Amino acid sequence: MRMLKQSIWYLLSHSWVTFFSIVMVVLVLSFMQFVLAYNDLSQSKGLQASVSINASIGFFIGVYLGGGVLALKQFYLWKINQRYRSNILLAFVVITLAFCILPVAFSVQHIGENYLLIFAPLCSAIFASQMVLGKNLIHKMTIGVLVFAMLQLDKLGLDVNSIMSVFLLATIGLSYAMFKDQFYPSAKQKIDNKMDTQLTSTAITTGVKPAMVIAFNHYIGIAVSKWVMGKKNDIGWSLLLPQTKLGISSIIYIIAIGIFSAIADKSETSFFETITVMFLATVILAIAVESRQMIRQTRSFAHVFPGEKHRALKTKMLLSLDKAYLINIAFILLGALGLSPLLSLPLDSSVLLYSVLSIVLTALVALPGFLCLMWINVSLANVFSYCGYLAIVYIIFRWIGVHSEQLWSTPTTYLFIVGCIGLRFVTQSLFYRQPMEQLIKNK
Amino acid sequence: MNSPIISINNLSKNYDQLAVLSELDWDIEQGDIIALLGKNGAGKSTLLEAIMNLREFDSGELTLWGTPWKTLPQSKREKIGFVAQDTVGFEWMRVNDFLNYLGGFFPTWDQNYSDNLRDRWGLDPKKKVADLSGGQAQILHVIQALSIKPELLILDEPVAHLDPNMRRQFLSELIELTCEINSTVIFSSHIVSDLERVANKVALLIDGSIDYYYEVDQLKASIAHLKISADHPIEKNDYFSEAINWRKHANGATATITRPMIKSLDSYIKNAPLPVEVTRLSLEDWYLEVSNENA
Repeated sequence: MRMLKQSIWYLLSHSWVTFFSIVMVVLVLSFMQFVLAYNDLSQSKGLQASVSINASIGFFIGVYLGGGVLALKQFYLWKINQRYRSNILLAFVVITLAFCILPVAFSVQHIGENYLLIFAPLCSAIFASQMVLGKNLIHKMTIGVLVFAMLQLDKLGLDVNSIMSVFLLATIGLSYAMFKDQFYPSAKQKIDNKMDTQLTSTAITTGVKPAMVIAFNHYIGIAVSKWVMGKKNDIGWSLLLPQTKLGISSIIYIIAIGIFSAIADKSETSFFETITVMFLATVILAIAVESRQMIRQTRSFAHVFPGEKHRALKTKMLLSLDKAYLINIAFILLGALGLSPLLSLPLDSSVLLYSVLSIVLTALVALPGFLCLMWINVSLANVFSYCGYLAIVYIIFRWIGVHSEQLWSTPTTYLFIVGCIGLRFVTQSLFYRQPMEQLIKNK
Repeated sequence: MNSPIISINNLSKNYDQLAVLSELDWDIEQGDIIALLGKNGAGKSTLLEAIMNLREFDSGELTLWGTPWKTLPQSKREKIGFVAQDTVGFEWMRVNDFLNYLGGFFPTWDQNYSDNLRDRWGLDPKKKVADLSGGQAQILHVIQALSIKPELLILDEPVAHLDPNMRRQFLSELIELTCEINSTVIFSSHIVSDLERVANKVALLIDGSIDYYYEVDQLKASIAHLKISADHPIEKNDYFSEAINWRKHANGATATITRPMIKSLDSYIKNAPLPVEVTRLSLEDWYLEVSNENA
């Protein structure tokens, strides 16, 4: 029992900031459940809303606990000591159940005869944790596709309880596989065979990263290296390397949009813009995280830029990242514009273009600021700054929604553009003021 | 002769086209302290991780206490200590949390010994694992492995990040531990002088197999650099068949004895057909000679 308590504690405490952020999300979602109970919604609408909220809660818990299990399974005992493994997995189950009971209590009144829906948050948590613990990208994507496929079962005329039975069976299967450790090898095994060769042959790896990212970078790197290396074999290119890969990876985002659009309900007119904009808004996070890893590369040559020359290096860094960011955005935008007629999805291109412009400007303002933070570690500063960025993006969208008719004729638009350019100078000078040691210091 | 605690037969492991371990045979007896040597990339870590069941191998058999890993009982698994080359993980825990938590999974965990080592080796119990230096993190993992009081201890370059003072302390703890509970220890390192102090056997991994595996004392009694004098260059003959790195010179030849001989080195020299000048080799010199032979 003592070991179980300790395992619970360490699973919960592996990242306090993330934990409290998730607790806040759970509380907000639980409050929404509470509000739902007092709203005069139809049975089906209430059920849909309630289950969605429960599943979201389960998802967040699952991702967090999956991260905790992933951290604890790095140790060799995971592979050789059954007691260690069972203890951690038992702790995982106990916490998941504890967190899932609260949302279920709220949704009881909507469930009616669909009693198996009480397991929705649990299933969601287990599936989400597998997305984190999955062996490789294909494994993770398979789990995602499996969820989508199971959600389509209603089209075959299956009732809610039958669909939930399928979900439960899949959940039990995944839990058993996790316990047996059949599909989830430890970190040591993850870098086995081909992965080992990749680790040694990839010129610039991205530090401590999941094996799937290393594999992904490796293959993309091989594919584009000759093309990119051509005449750009300099420091700027070295900084840009992973971002160039990210630029290519935008194609994958576009494929994801295509698949998602094909499956989802097309009657919702703003659906395509929303999905595209969601991707666009998150690109900066990917760039910032990746760039923080890559900035470590400068350790090996930062001494070549002593004193005042650091400014030149910083300029190179900033321009490289701006360029990488714009490549990503361009790929996604072109993909979206191409996919719209191809998939017969309604798209208001002027709204999309305006959204893109606002996101790009906001992101370019924020990018130097983000670079000043330690992006690798989850910290309150990181969480708040990214929340702030998302809040600004949200406000802009609301504003676009209200003024969609006269976007280019209102002075606020131009004021916004000028404001962004001005603010970029502020954040850029903040970046320049950071000591080089601070920028490249990264655990 | 003791029954082997680890028995490896025909173990092979390839990384794509690269054969790292090739039909490796090795028996390790209870109570031995074995220094595993080999060049960078020779496959030392792969071998140690295969022994620890952390890395799958392509073919061959590996048993611990006569049992393959698959059926090795939990009671035996709990008697194995391991320190990996890269000591990562548990960054959010404090030093004491780390030791107490992991100690709970081992029935033979010696809390007093762990606390004592931690204090003697200057680790702050309240310090977060993330804030430890590379050397301190390694010390922490070594303390964890030693406090199990393991019957089998596998250490993959355990002293790589330690200063000379810490290395000495660690090695003396290792000797005390093996004396106390007759542990079997396999450790890889590139600091050959350390190995001489603590190991009773030395194993050299070359071309995917254990090419040299001898008792340190037996080896040290034989390994030597030979200078054979004559008034003309000398070809290698049957008498000097045990010598390697044979180099002809205008006035004789030079060579090296790298394996223990049936008769003593003194009688070997005494009975030599030509005058031989002998320079004894340290293990480090021996390692360099053997490595050069296989380069």
